[in-house]
Amino acid sequence: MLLETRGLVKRFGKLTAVDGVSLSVAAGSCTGLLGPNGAGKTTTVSMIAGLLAPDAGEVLIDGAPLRGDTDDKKRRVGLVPQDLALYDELTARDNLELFGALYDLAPPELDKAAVSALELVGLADRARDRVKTYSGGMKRRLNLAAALLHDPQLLILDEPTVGVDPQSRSAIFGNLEVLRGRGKGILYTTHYMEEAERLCQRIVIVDHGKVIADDTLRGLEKKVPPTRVLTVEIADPGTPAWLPDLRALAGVEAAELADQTLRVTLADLERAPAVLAFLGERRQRFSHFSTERADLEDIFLRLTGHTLRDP
Amino acid sequence: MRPLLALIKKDLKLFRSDRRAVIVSMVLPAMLALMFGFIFRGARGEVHVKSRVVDLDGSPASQKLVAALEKDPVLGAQQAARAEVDDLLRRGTIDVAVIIPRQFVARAAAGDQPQIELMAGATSAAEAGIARGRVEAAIATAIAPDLGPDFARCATATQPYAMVNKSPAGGDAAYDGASHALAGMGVQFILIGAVDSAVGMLNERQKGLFRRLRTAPLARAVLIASRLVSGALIALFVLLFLYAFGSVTLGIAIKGDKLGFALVAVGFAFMASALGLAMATIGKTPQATRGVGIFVVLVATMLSGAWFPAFLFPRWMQTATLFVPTRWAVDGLDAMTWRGLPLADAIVPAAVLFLSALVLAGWSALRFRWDETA
Repeated sequence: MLLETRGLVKRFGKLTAVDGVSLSVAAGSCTGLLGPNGAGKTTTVSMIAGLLAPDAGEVLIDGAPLRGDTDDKKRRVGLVPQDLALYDELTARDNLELFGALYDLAPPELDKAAVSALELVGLADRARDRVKTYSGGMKRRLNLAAALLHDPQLLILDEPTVGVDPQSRSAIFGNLEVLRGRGKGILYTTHYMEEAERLCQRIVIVDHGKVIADDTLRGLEKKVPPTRVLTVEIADPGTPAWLPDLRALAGVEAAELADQTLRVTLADLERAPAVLAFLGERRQRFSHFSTERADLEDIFLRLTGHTLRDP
Repeated sequence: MRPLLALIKKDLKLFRSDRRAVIVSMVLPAMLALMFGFIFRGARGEVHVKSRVVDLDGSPASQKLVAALEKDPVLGAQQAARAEVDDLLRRGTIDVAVIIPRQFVARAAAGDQPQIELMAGATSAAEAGIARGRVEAAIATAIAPDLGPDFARCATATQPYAMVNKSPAGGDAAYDGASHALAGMGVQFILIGAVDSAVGMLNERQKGLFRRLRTAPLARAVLIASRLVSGALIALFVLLFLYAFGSVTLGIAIKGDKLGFALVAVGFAFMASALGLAMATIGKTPQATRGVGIFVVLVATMLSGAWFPAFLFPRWMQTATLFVPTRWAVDGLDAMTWRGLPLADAIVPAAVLFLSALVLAGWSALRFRWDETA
């Protein structure tokens, strides 16, 4: 394992911000650390990156415990902080040269690393521009590049897409998929369900400082009952005189039509073909149909009793 | 009416909630007023002129005069040997020295008009004027009968003695107000730069830059040391620029030891940089730090003697300024410029400045909060 944490605990006064968090990240994989604001994600990340000393538990990098500010194992870790931790008055290149030098990189190795990182995030042509002239999305990408200079095996991203436009978000996801393909291990903290679903093979859900689930996406989906809703887009429903007959169909518990969208709640998803056959017999042409799958939002709600956006 | 009142109430609430505004608007002016009050009240009733008296006469009457000068509330003159006062005056340790000549009392009584020498340092013309009046008063009250019955009865138009102003031996350094002002203003504005540095450091912390820097395998001491050295280099650059500018425009010269000047300049540069670190360590937010930092700079500059002659300070404040590093910076720069003193006179000021820098930087390394969330 590139990263393993065992029972991390961190207290601030009477508040236990992190309460026994254990997780792991393997090479070439992405683990999502998912939870609402204030769940303890950033504190956990701070301990993993060596910024905070845990009150209990330990952080293992490549199986060896991380100890102190100057531990050489920190070279295997790259942190992309939640804040845009960049010097706005310096150019992108100057920023990267500074952050690379902190890891003892020297020219020409440093130059090569800076060029490579800038190319990966698509900022090579703006390398000599001051960061203050960048858009928010460009700064986010540079924030990522700054963590890559020393070629860390483990990449920790703390909410790296906050306030980012869809295009830059997509670019960042593309970068991360490339890096994962290169064998990097990624720990990705977020409170956006769709990001964790897209990027991560394994997802750790935290709430109030505690791990409440740690599984693959498929494994988590099994924790909530499958939904039994069939949604059908009907081209021209006209006057739906057939709707009472549909509701009376065996296995149909409810059916509602709003505009062109028909939502049918079934006793069992296996009854879906019968519903589609019924619509065909009534000459209702449909352009699209789908069944709803439980997503992480549902899983979180099921596990915690509240949604991700709740305080 | 209700909207108006609501808006006023809102502004008052915002003012109260902004601690910086409260401090800058109320507490800091009150503190400065207190200090100015001490100074100017001191000027009215508690002026203290640092002085020595040398009794070459040694007669019972001259000893009465010495005792009167020792008890004088303004002079409080300690007795000293003739050989030591020149050096004390040249270094600015004392303002004036009163030299009672041999057989002063006997010669005065005989109508020989002996001369009392009133020696003053290059910066102490005002103090010398004050001292002259105090010495005349002491003679009149303490030994008038010893100087002849006419003098005692005020029956003579001429005094039985004379008082002459003199400079210390070897004290060819003329006071250069421009040079002193340059030292004082240089110290003040470099310290304001230190406040900016502290604010910048807290801004970096707010932006999460220290989180990023600390993910590298670096000791925190390295991060503090980097700020200390970069701040000192900037301060040194500013100071050297000011002296180069002063040299060209005002003819200010380093008349003392060049190495001594360099030692004091480097010591002050490190002290100013370390003070910036300490302000960042104390300050919670950039805004609050700016307000408090400016206050610290104003007080430190005032106590350095850059604004007022030190004799205007109450006696306790004159002693207290010895614990203010900026006083040593201004004194050290003065010593190596217009006073024209040797390297030895730069050692103590430079040592105090380096030691102050070490203490402030060490404390900051131990206490600085690297992360606002921690």
